[in-house]
Amino acid sequence: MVLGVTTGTIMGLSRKGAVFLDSWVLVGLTVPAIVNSIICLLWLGLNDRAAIVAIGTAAFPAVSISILQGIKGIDTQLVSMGQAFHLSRSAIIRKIIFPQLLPHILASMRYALGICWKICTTVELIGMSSGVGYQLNYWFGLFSMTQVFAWTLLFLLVMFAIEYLIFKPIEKRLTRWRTGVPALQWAQ
Amino acid sequence: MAHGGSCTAVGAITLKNVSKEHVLAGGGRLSVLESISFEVADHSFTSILGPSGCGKSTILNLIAGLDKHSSGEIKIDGARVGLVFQQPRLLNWRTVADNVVLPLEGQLSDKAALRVIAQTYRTLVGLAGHEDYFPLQLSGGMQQRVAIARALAIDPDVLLMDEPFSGLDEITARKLRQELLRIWQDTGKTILFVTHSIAESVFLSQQVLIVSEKPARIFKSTKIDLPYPRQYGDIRLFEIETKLTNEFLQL
Repeated sequence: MVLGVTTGTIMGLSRKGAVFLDSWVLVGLTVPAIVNSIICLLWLGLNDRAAIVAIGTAAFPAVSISILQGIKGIDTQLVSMGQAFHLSRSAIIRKIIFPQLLPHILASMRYALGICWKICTTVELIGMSSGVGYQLNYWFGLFSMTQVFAWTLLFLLVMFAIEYLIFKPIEKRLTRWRTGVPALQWAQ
Repeated sequence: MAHGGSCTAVGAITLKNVSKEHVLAGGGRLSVLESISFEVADHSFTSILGPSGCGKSTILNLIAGLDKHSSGEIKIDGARVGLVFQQPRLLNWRTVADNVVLPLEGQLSDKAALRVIAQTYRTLVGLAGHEDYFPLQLSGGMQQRVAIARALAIDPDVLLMDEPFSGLDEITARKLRQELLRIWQDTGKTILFVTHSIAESVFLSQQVLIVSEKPARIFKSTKIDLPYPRQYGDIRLFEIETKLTNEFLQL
């Protein structure tokens, strides 16, 4: 799953300039995720690899669009500042462009994670013999409300844990520069 | 200054018949600068004065090497050129200290040395004790101070300033102008200062180059032989200002 997120991000990053990809990304975005899952299961068999590929392909378009937006939003004045001070190309990318993309990368990772969970459950539901999706299906078959709720709750707990233990701290650390000290605004 | 090697008398700028044309989408040519020639002595303070959009900034960009001129010759004694823009153009995710040393990071890997340099120039621009602040926590005037410190940190031979105070309120701008003159006298940099404010150019500089509009030409160079430190409200400054204003109106 995490692999899906990272590859999605990397793919989005490295294909930034390619305009012709636009339409493909759009196609990828509109294809229902369940189609991805089914095709992957058919092609790759009922295994974990199919799940990972399905997740990757489903998350990729959304991630790349988000990154593309980020790249369009880059402050070119800062880039020309870097050039004026003779910063190397790599320094401009690392120190001026990448930090501007970070919020977008973070947002798209969050989004991708959401997609991941959904697809993962779907894949498990259709073709796996383990996992939350499988369990949900199993207990649905037995019409056990309690068990379905229990599994959903488990699901939620894991999501909360990821959000508050991983994403929130990272985001806080990366965007600490945004927290202003209003009192200083007037101090000259 | 403690780093950067030699402190020889460099910093003179010479422009000879420099022209700049933009090729338009329709194939036509638009002349932006026409045969600009002037000389800036080392360690001097020169202003380029002209209305907004007349091409003053283009002259600065050519000297800074951010743009290429179509014909003519530009000569700068000394390799290092520091730039201060109209907007501070700071990296908001870096602290004040890290912003100041940004241009040096590629050349100096010694963190302690960088810290010392950052400290030196922050003190010079009156920002001592603000090293851990982020730009968005500072006022516009203080952000511009950081930008000035960053330009000075590379120990430039020439400091180019593109309307650095025009985005600030007048009170802050006045304060910063006085401090800029102090910094100039402390460091002995050659400063080339672009502005559209007649009062600002008269207050700051020893030489004012007046630029006309479309295409930009230098139609007058005025020397201002008043000693520093100059005082706001000095009647002699006011007289020069009035004279220049009249010349602009006759244009």
